[in-house]
Amino acid sequence: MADGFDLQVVTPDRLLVDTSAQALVLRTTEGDMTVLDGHTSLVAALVPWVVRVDPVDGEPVRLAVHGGFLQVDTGPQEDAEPPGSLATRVTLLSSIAELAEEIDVDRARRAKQDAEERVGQGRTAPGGEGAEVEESEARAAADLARAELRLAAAEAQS
Amino acid sequence: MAGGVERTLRRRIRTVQATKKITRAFELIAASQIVRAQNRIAANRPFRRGMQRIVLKTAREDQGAESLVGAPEDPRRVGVVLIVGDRGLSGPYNSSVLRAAEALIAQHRARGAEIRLYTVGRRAISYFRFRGRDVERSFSQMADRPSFEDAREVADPLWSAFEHHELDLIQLVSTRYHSAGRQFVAVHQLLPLPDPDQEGEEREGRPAQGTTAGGYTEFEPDGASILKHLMPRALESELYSALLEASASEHAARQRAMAAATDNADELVRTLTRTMNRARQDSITTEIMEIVGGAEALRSAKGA
Repeated sequence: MADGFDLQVVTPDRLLVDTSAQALVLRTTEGDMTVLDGHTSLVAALVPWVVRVDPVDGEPVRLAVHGGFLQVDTGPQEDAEPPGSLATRVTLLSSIAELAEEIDVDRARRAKQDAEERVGQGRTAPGGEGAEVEESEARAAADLARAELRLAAAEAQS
Repeated sequence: MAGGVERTLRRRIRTVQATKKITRAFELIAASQIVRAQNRIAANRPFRRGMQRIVLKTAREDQGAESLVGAPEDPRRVGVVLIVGDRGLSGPYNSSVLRAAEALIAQHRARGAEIRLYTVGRRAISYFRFRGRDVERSFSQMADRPSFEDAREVADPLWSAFEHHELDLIQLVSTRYHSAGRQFVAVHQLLPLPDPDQEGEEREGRPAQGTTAGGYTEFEPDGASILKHLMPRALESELYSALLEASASEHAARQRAMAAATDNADELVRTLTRTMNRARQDSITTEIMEIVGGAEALRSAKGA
């Protein structure tokens, strides 16, 4: 297969994507980038974002990636064809990531609504200060961000 | 009289048979759990490998990471994490981890180091409470079917203690799952990251994989900041794998223990039945002897 690189998207419990890809579009802490075959070796931290995978065969796949890391490894690989030639291997590691097509949109919407209601609630409530409030506030904000990312990924896919 | 012995034995046999049913059920449950736990280990493998690879790469490249990689010379404050089960009935599974942890602690104490204990599994709580030992944090109800969230929960306090230099070294004592027939207790260094060049216990199928050594690698952001982001995640990943392996090992240990208990119950039933039969035969023989003796006495009385 020409013009492709090996791509794996991995979560702790599952290998989400294992394919030969043309391009991988994502956002690191430094900004947006696209990985193509022959990209220089790279290690990058990712921010939560909708990641797009363009496989060599088939339609683009979108994923909601809630932060993680990217490793691009370009160089002589053991299993390269022909031996000694350069190959690019890309691994995306994320503690939480989902395929857009598997996202339950209704559930994400409900979660978003629920989180929206909770955000800001702690502060307006009587005695709304202190570490506990901070924490529940932060949790609500994180839930909201996650739900929004899921919805964005599902929308981009459709 | 003799019938009494027989009755007690019969009752005991029934009890043993009831126990056998229970151990048999436990054995079957454990056996089914092993398969699931094994699948989860397999599913976790790509992530774990990827994490190890990326950490290794970053740590190697970054020269400022001295204190984050390798074994500290003389750690004064040591965190010991141990993973056992929530329940017993699993043979030597819990006690061998506890014994290994005890040995490790003694070794550190002998050097005059201070120990902080972190435990996973209810069995550890009762063990250390009984001995009046302080436990920094204890977690339970995650040994059976650990989730990544559980690993994160354990990793958080560990990382923050390490990050704030409250601990120089964090070690993990847990059961490693090698195969269905082979599990062993191992001590594994969590933080600082074990030096990959000195790590002798590398797994098979991972021979310096993905090392385009010497090749130029870019870091986004710079290596030091990435490493800072990466380390807590790597810690979670290691703990998660350890939890998965421990859970599979526990199920395997339980299955073995319960299979042995079932066999033992079988054996017990067999000997008890034999004793009971002998007791019954004895009483029958005695009865016949009595009848024969009585008849004989009657006849000789008549004949006289």
